[in-house]
Amino acid sequence: MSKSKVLAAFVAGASLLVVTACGGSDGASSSDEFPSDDVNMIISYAAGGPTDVGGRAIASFMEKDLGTTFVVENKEGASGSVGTADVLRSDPDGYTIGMTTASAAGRVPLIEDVGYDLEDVQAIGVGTFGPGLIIVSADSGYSSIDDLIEEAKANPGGIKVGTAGASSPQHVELVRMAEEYDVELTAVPFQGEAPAVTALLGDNVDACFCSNAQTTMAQVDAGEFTILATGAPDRLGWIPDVPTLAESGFESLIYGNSYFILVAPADIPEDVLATLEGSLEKALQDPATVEVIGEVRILDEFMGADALQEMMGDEQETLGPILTELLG
Amino acid sequence: MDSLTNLIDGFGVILTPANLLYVLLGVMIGTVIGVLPGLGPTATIALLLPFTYGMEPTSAIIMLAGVYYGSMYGGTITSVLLRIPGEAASAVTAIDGYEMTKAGRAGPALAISAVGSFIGGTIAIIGLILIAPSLAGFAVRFGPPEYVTLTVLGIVMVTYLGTKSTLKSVIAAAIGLLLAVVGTDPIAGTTRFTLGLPGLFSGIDLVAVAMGLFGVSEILYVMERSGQSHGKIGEVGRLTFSREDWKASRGPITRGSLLGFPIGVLPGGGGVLSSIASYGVEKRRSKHPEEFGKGAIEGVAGPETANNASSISAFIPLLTLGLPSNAVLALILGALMAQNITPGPQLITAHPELFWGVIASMLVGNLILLLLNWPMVGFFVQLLRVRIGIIGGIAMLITLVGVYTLNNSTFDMWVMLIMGVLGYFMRKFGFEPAPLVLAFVLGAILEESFRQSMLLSDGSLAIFATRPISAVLSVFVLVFIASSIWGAVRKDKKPSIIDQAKELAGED
Repeated sequence: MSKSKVLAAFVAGASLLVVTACGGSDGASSSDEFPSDDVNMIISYAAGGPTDVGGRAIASFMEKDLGTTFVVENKEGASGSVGTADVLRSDPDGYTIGMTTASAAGRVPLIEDVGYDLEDVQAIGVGTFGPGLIIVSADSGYSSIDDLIEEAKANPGGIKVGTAGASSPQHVELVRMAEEYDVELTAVPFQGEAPAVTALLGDNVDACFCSNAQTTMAQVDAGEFTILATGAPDRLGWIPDVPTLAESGFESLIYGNSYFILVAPADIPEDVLATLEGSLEKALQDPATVEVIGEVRILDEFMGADALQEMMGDEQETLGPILTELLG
Repeated sequence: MDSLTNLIDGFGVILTPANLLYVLLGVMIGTVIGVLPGLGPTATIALLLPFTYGMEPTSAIIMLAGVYYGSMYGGTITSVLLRIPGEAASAVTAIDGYEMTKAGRAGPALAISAVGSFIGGTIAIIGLILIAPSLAGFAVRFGPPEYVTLTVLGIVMVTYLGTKSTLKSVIAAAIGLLLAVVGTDPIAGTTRFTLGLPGLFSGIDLVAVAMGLFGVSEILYVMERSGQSHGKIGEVGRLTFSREDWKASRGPITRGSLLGFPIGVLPGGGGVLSSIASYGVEKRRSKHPEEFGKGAIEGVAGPETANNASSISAFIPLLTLGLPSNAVLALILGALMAQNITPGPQLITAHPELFWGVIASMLVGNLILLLLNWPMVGFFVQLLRVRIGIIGGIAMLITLVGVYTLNNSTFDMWVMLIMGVLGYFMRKFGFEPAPLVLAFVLGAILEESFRQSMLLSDGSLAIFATRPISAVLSVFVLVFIASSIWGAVRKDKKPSIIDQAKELAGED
């Protein structure tokens, strides 16, 4: 390559940089230009997990939809707070977004000093959904949630319920059930959902308050497990006959669910947010994306930026005291 | 014949160009590092771990398993030709193997080792196919109390069977248990002993610990001794064995397979112990024990078969219970966890492609090793000419890059370097890092299971005695502790196989 060519390439490159830099500074007013560069998606949990699978499926749709490259990176650790903190520290321009959980965004900051708070979070929307499910073995003799609750009232602490971990949303709900409703189930935390489900299979616990991981659903589909109730605020489309806990006499227990969400730093431009939110909504209607994620892991109705931000706010307000008492 | 159809599916998984390449890569790397003194399978797998994160889980395990049993083949070569065991499990082979080389019989020694390893490996794979699925089915019923007694048994046996001093093994295991409590309390969910460092909220990373203790410390230790040069490399000669050699080796190979298989399953068992046990058995059974140490082919065939069989059967506890039986398997556990796969009784049903794919890959891998070893011995021997300083430097760079990619953070790099220095001094003062790593892994399971048991029993310790499986395991624990104390008190006893092992391992 001759010297003049190198120089020409340099000038072209430099002017491109200047143009994009200028474009970035007044980007707030130019939605039609977003995205004009690669978008970085930081996934706050390990590769292969539910956050990762959902995040990557959504990224690969949004990439096509928005006509730009999504650079996906896993940055796990400290209950998702390491990756989430990275996202929230980045420039609020929409070029760095994160796939994380509502728990990492809203609950973890209440318990640990992770360097951010819910105020620093701009929710984009819910990607995938893991409703809390109260599950028993099909041959357990419990055919409804009322059976289980009656037994728990007759024999306080006698029923052992496996959960996916002490800080899992489902575990916290069991603690609230005892405190607010005086119904005492002994919550036994495991390291994740799979070992809790194995304990149920081996009859080492009487029930599980878990979610809809693949291993769990395999047993449900095989008829080994019965779902007695869900922790979701409303009944779920794929199990319309299963009541919610709220309907079963525990009105306030609507937070026992995992939301895998898309976030950005607070103060990203309105129009950029709208673009990302719109693309996320389309992703969740795309058959190929739904296939990868699994229909049971998608909300019946899309939950966008405003609704999600409000839900996380409510959750923080309601659960704040008990979370600090339990885990702080 | 369920297993057979599953196995055929397993072949379907691995007979793809990519997966075949990973098998080949795994066994090649295994053979090479088996040849190179200093870099053992544990260090190598520790170094390779970060590279597996971007791979399919099955491909990752296929490759790492290949490194493990491949190193058992490779270690033989230097033991026989140079009297330098490339890795510890071949230490005992050096005794008679090198004598055979001096007598101009290196070819038969290497050939019979390759055949013995192949037979031992294949028999162990068949055993794995027959036992693992039903054991896993049984293990579904194992609850927290059973895991408590199993992990205690594991930790006790690791210290008891450790090849160095029992006291030092206990100390190393105690450090491992202490390190395991750092991070999030498994039952309360609160963090503890984190010094306020977010990097420690989810505990100290197993891979960073292992890469430090095995990888970095081994590089430091080997480089320190790099001035020493090895002796003359013996002539290989023709790689065949005579009819008489085969007649003499048939028995040791059969017994080596049958002995190596159960020893591999034991916590802390694995290659070293099985090869030494086989040597002891062959010497005792032999009609001419005086020939042992002077080039008896039985002393090569038996141990080499046994260590390969045990390196395969060592996978059983991990794939059925989620409990690693030695340091290599602890690292493979780390590789699975990083892929979000929790090994346990559900593994075979939840990830059949992984389980049966790995088994099929072992059959293919053993065949590759058999075919590869014969024509390529000469090439592998040339590797010994590479200066250890060069290998060490490259390995150090790979470790640093690798550990950074774990979480894309420099925090794990510091953990690894600190552990590397700790491991270096442990080696210098005669401590083994393996009990530390195993206790670190098992300790976390032990604490969690113990506290779960207490929740299930409403705080009564009787739960460990009233549940039959856990009661039986508790008795084993007590017997091991009692016999260990009894052995320490009675000084005049005859040296057992384990004592012989400790003596042999102490030589290096």
